[in-house]
Amino acid sequence: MGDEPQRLHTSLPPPAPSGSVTVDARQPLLPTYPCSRCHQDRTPDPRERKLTQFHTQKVLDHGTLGGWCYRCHTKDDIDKLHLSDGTLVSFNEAYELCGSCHGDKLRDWKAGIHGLTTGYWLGDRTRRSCPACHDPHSPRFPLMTPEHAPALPRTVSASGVEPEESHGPE
Amino acid sequence: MARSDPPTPSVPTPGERVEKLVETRLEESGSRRTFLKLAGLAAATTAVSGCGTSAPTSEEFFRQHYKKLTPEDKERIFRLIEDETLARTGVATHISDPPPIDGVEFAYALNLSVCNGSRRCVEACARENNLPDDPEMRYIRVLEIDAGTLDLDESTPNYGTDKVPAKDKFYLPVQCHQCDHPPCVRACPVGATWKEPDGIVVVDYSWCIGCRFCVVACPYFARRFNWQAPTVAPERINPNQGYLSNRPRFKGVVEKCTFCLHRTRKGRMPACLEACPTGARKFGNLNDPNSEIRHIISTKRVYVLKEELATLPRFYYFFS
Amino acid sequence: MVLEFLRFLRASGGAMMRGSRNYYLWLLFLVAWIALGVLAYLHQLNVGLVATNMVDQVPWGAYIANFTYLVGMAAAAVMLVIPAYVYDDHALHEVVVLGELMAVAVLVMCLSFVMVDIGRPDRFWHFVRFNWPASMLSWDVIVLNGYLLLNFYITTYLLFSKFRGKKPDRKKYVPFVFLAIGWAVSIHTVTAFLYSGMGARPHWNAAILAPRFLASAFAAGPSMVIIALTVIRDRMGFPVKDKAIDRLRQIVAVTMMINLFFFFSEIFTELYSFKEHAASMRYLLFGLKGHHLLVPYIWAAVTLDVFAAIVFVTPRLHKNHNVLLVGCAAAIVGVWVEKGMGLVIPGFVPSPLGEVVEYAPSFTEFCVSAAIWALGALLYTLLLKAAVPIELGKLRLNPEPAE
Repeated sequence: MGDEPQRLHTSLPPPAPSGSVTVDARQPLLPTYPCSRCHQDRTPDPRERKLTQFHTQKVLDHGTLGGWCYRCHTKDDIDKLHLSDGTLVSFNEAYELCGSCHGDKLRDWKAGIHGLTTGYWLGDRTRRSCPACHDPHSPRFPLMTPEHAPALPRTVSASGVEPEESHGPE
Repeated sequence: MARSDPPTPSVPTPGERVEKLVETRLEESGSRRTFLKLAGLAAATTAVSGCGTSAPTSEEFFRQHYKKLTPEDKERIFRLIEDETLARTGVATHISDPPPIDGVEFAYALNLSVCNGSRRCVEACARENNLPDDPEMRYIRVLEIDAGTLDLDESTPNYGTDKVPAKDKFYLPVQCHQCDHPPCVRACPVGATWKEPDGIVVVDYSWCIGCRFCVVACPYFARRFNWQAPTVAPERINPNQGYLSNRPRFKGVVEKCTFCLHRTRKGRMPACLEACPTGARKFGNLNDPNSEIRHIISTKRVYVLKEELATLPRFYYFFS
Repeated sequence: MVLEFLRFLRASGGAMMRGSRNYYLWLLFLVAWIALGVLAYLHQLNVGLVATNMVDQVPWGAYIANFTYLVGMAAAAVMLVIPAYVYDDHALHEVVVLGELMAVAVLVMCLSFVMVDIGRPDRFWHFVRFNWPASMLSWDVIVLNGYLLLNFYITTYLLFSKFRGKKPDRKKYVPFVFLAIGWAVSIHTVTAFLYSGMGARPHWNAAILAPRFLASAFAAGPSMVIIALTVIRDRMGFPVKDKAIDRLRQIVAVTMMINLFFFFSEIFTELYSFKEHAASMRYLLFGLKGHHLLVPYIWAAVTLDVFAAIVFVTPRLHKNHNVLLVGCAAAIVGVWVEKGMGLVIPGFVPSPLGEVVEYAPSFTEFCVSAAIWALGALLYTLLLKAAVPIELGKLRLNPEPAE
């Protein structure tokens, strides 16, 4: 991981160990899982179209994809996703699929640099899997409304102009 | 005032999904923060005046500097403070004094490619550290800067309530950097602020004389002064308090971010990190080769603010 | 000896209480201002420093600006001492004590301004944990109190000796006088280092700041002494030689020129390269992002400084004592603005994160500051009221013809 930073003042060993890192499971959070419940009796239709009956809120806005839903979802085993070489991955390991194109992000995520981590810096940590923040169908991180701006200093009025000074610098 | 979008009962949009995620994280961490849907509450609360009574008690007047307190002194003082808070606000608090962990040197990293200026960190910090709303005090200041410049003089902290991130802007949160060469520590004439072995620069609120030389000396606008008695509504008081961090403060003394030492010295993450919805904040032990913070410093192009001042901050910014 | 000292104190006290009607009116005037200030300060103690117009972006204001200016004024007492003792200028010998008494009064003002500025004056004893030598403020506390003690000792010794009709023993005061000369330079250098050491404040973080402080102090200080000596000569009957006043005028002529040169030198360095750190200078001189509160004041100050410089070097002008006094007043006010508010406030604009927050003193700050100035004037008046008769030989332990 690199040399010791020059700036350390301690020669004591770090407290050990740093705890375990687990990835949260996505599958239990999926409202429509298992997909095979509905899809096992259906024929997969890979034509790009606007869905009108089910999954209508899914808007596909994920770069230029060919193959539409089945680029990631597996026709033959709808409860799984697949990588570009056909390897099946469960929804819990969706990050491997994301990482097959976004390798740098995957590398950062595995190191804990990218993404959300909850827990303890000295203890167990949980990583959120990619779909927790990035809807794979429309992954751009959503705009948010920020919390309020800081209160102006009490000597500054709302228009940004000072209230009348009492005597000026004398 | 901007408020986060309330979650709807139907299938969540991506934005709602993220909000819910952050809420879940906050609840998981178990602290008593109310997430900011309290539009009416702030106005309606009976604000009890903080520890700003003009005359100190004789115990307060003669109290020694933190470094001179014996364990018995600390026990006595902490119970005194807890009793006083209970009497004044009806809230039972617990004051701890976790020592620095051996072999730990804290550092913070902030990913500027990912921070979207949501200011969730600002408010979470305020709730965790018992910062007053009136007059408003916030340790963290988020600057909005045009993409293409790092000039702080062209930044603004007052960006409004439009959705963030705004086009062609990026966001730079600033708080105390716990510098290795802290100009504030050198400035203080009475030694009321100093750097602890784990890197955190702390303030003994009972020793500070309020001369504000440290506020003058800080290049990052990190230190805050209590120009009047701070007031925190009783229902918003965080009862998990540290003597050197978020215990009740007084009029006439200086305070600042302490990397939530009452949490981090027990292995937990600082409140700002937990509230960040984009995962821009990373924290850990610089001394641990397996920590995220070491990984960031080793592999990312990190930089610090105002490097030419040789303050050696422990707060690193990077783009990913 | 103790009995004689007590009689010295009693006689001095008596002299302070006796005076003309104008004298009492003057005292009353000063006491009224002090009373107003005490009320204002009590209000500030009650609600906190929110009674001032200082905020986190501008953490120091009128109090520290006045303090900075007055430290220079106190240091200027040395301007009498150096020629008198180093160059054995007899014309100045007699007035040295009067100048040093001014230093005492001014130092009390300095310490008062610090006391009213700190957030927790009840914690003054915390200085036992001195962060010396790292903190420039700790240096400042030491040197200011030391200078006060030095001057207090020297003046008391000289006046007490004169009161007793005895010639002062050179060994008992001359070494201290020379110590005071060096010390006077140090008090203002240390105060300047408070500012020039701040890397966070590029407006102050310049090598020229300490020289500029000294030059401006040694322009405004002797100007104040000239005015004081005029009052002493005209109102209190103490024969102040024209040569003494002219010597002071010569000093101010040089130091004001140097002060102006330093100021213009700073302006050139900051503005020529148009670098970022010049934002504070631009704010002061021209305004920044629509904020221009200080612009008229600084230009007025520069005008006053230039006017004073012209008066001090032009014989036709300064030989007229009234014009000289106007020149002195111009120097005093000009340096006050340029060094007090005109230096302290721009250091905070823009803030370290680029915010522009302007500052002008609040009513409370004005009242407290005016009261402290009145306190200094009162103290100096009282000290002179006792010292001048002693110097003149009119106030004696044993009221017999002098030897």
